[in-house]
Amino acid sequence: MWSRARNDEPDLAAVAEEAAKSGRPAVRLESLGKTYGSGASTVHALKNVRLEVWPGEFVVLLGPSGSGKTTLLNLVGGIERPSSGRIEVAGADIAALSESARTDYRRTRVGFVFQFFNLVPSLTALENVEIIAELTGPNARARSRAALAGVGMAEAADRFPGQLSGGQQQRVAIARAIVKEPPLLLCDEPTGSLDLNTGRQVLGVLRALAREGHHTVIVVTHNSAIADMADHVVWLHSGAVSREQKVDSPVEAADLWW
Amino acid sequence: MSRVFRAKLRRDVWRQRWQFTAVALVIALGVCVFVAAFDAYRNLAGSFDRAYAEQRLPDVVITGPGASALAGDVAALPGHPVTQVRHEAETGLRIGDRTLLGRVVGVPDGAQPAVARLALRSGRLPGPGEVLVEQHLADHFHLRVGQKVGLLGPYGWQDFTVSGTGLSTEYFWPARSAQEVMTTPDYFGVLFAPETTVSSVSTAPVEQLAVYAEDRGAAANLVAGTQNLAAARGLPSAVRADQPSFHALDEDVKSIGTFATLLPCLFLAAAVVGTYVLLSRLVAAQRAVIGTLTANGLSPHTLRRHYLGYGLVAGAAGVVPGLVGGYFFGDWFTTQYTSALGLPLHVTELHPWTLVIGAGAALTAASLAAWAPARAAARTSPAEAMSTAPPSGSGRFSLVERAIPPLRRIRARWRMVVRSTTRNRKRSILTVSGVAVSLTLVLVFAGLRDTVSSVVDRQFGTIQRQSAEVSTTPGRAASVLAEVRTDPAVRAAEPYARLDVSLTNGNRRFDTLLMALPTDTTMHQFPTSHGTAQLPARGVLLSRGLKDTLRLNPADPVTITFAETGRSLTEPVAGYVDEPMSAVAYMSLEHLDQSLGEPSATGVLLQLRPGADRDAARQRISVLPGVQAYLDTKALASAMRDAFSLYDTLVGIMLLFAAAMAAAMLFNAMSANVAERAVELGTLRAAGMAPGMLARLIAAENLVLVAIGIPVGLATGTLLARWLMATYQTQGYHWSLQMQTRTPVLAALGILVAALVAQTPVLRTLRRIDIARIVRERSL
Repeated sequence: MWSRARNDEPDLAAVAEEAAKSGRPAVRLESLGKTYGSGASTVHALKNVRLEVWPGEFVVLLGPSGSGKTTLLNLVGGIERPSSGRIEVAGADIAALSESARTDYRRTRVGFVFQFFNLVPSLTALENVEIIAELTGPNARARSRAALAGVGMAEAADRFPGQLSGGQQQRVAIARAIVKEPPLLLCDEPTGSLDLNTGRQVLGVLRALAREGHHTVIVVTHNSAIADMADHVVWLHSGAVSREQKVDSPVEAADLWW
Repeated sequence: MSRVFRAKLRRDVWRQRWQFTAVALVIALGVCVFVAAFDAYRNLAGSFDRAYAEQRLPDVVITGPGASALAGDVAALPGHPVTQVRHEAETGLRIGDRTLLGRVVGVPDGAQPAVARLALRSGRLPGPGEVLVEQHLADHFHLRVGQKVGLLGPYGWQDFTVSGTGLSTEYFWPARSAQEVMTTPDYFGVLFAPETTVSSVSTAPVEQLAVYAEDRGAAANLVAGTQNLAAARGLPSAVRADQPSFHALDEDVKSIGTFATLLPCLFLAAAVVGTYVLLSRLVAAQRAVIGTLTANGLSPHTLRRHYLGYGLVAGAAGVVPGLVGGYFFGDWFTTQYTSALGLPLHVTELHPWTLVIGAGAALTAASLAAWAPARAAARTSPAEAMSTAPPSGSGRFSLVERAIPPLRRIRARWRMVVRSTTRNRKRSILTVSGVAVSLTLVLVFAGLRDTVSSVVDRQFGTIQRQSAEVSTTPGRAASVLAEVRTDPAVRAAEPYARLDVSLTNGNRRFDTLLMALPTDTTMHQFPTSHGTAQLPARGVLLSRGLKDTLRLNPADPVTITFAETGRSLTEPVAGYVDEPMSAVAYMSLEHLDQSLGEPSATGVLLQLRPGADRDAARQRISVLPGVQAYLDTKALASAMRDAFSLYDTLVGIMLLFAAAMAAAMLFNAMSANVAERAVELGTLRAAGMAPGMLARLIAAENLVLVAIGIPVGLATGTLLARWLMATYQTQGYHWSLQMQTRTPVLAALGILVAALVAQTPVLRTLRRIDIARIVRERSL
């Protein structure tokens, strides 16, 4: 368990609290590698990746298809295990966690936003958020309403996904991700299915979460225009970090164009 | 179909091999049951027909003094008649220390009769001083050639030597009469002996003329002509349909024929549902592929044919094991059935048409099930199929939430469970139907078994309260009663009369038994629709089944004609009794004695003291002077239960089949459910929902469907069992469905267990779900 440590696993909640106070990176990747398959069909999705992401940063991971962006996101999110190296989140190595501890980690520390929203069609917007909120504490409904309000979707709380536009669905998906108040928000092509204006709105919400909500946001995209609004841009190529750049004065989402 | 399409079909089937296996299993069960039941039906019907022809079961039997005089006239009728004059005597029969009712049927000295020939199982035909023992009786008492049996004649008991054992078509089902179809060899047995022997054990044997038509095409005309001749002489005649053994077995074979039609329909309906669910899901998952193919110019016809191929594959996969299983199952059933009757006529023939029909029905069912998904595939527009993000489906509040608003306040995950049951309504309805069909199947058989058990319990526990029935020789009932009352094991005893009579109302006539008991009898209860009735001092109580037969209302006069003496009485109908196992008339013994002007008792009913040694009491009473037969009620009840024991085995088999069918259908429905929702389930897992919780939610969704299906299945199963029971009624047996309380509970639990088992592999896949692939690839 992330919050209820087993004997052989670190109490990551305590570690995270300590890390926040100590000023350590939110995410630190050390010699991270991931391979798929074996023998002649082995694919090296990630090779010796080193990266540090600081709390409250808005990070954009850029790269062509097959560069390992999503694999990196999945590894940080505890969806997959690395083949080698360390993934420190708030100072604790999540690569060593058991399956159930990784589930707890995802439940308490990470919020996911996917390209295709992945909402439960039989649940309303509010209920889609609530089903996740229930996993992480009391007052699930109130917290869900607040999360929806936070992404400008309070009015659509009782609508079903089929009654919402793509941008609205993605904002509900963001509300679902942040309702747990995770320190880490991982977004996989969050604007991939959206038009320019809607994409801008969604990115604006994510940017605000990083800036005002102090979430660490990592966005995976192949849209290089989004890099302009990031604090930290990382380019991946063939499974390795090919370039890294810190941005001192990122532009606002509304000013993006692609 | 091109090579590439064949490869696609082959690989798709392999990828979903367990789902296709599940469908094939249901199809195989349907084919198996069809072939088994239909072959059993045809084999049994064929066996009986062959035996009836070889042994010349009489087409008609004229009974009464002077019947033999009609032989010449009958021989002149068309249809190449074969006739046999014979005599029958009802007498006491003693085998070892057992005393029972015996019937001695006359046959030519050391030769086969021309009609109603005997199938020798051991020894030879009887000569002077010998008897041939009917096979059921011989088997029961382990009688062998050379052993002795006693027959009670006018001058006391005489010993006869067993010359052999054999079967008569008239006693394949060893019924004593149309009203006493259910007997036990402890109570009633048949012997065949030379006519001289029949005369020596009875002063007034019944004369009969048995007639058989060699020209089977003219049998009906011969029967009609013979009946006319008999009627002209005022003699009763009985056709095959009146013959107790023929009638009982004919009813049985007909009911097997009904099952041969009904059961496969249930299974094949389930197979249609399973195939439809599987292929609908397959087509939905391949929308993009279908769209691409269509966009590239593939004709709808080719697509339709391709997806119909999946149905045919599932059908073909089920047909072969179904045919093989059906052949062996049918063989096993026929063997069990014939051995339960003690018949040697086990005929198992391979009926090619049964196999062809079974295979054709299965393939047709599978094709029909595949038709809708195949048509949907052919109609898919390229634009719709090629869209990147498939429609997410429209959500809605479920009916139950609208009906019960507090449900909207339960946890969101459980709201998802409630709503998911109506998310894909068609599939939910089909899944519920599958559960209902499975449960129906179990309840039909369990209901039949329960009814048999309940009827026997009621007849021999509640209605007939005597521990034993003692038949006496004419005029000895009073002395036997006095003796019996002094037996230390006997708590109570009373006289009774059991007489063959004809009841008539105008031109309506019914041959039955008249049971006369003391007005204050403690040996018999008379249940009515309102409780119980007292035996009236005057008038007769009739079994309810006779109300329609004779069109009589209470207080209407009914004429009672005694078969032995020909005397008649007219009595008012005092009421009707609801007895499940008899269609008889009851009246006061005192009133009968008074009406006839002489004692009419034919035996004694007795109740033993609690804890009394039944066997010792039987032995003491059986040897009392004047005792003709001693029938232990428990033995009769036990014999009846044995006669229906095949039902227990069938219930067990059907429970297995139904559970397998339910499990297969639920497995497919759940697989489709999980596969279709892989993305949202993967997202919930990614968001930190534990696999155990997810498994519980999915399991709950399916159990909700099972829970909906169970009451539907209970209702349809009960109704179908009731209907089948109604079709099984005869004049002698008027049964209604009597299902034990625990039966539907156990049946529902059985289906629930099957559902839980079916869920296990699917829930396991939830634990192994590849979240990374699902959330990224958005696989359907």
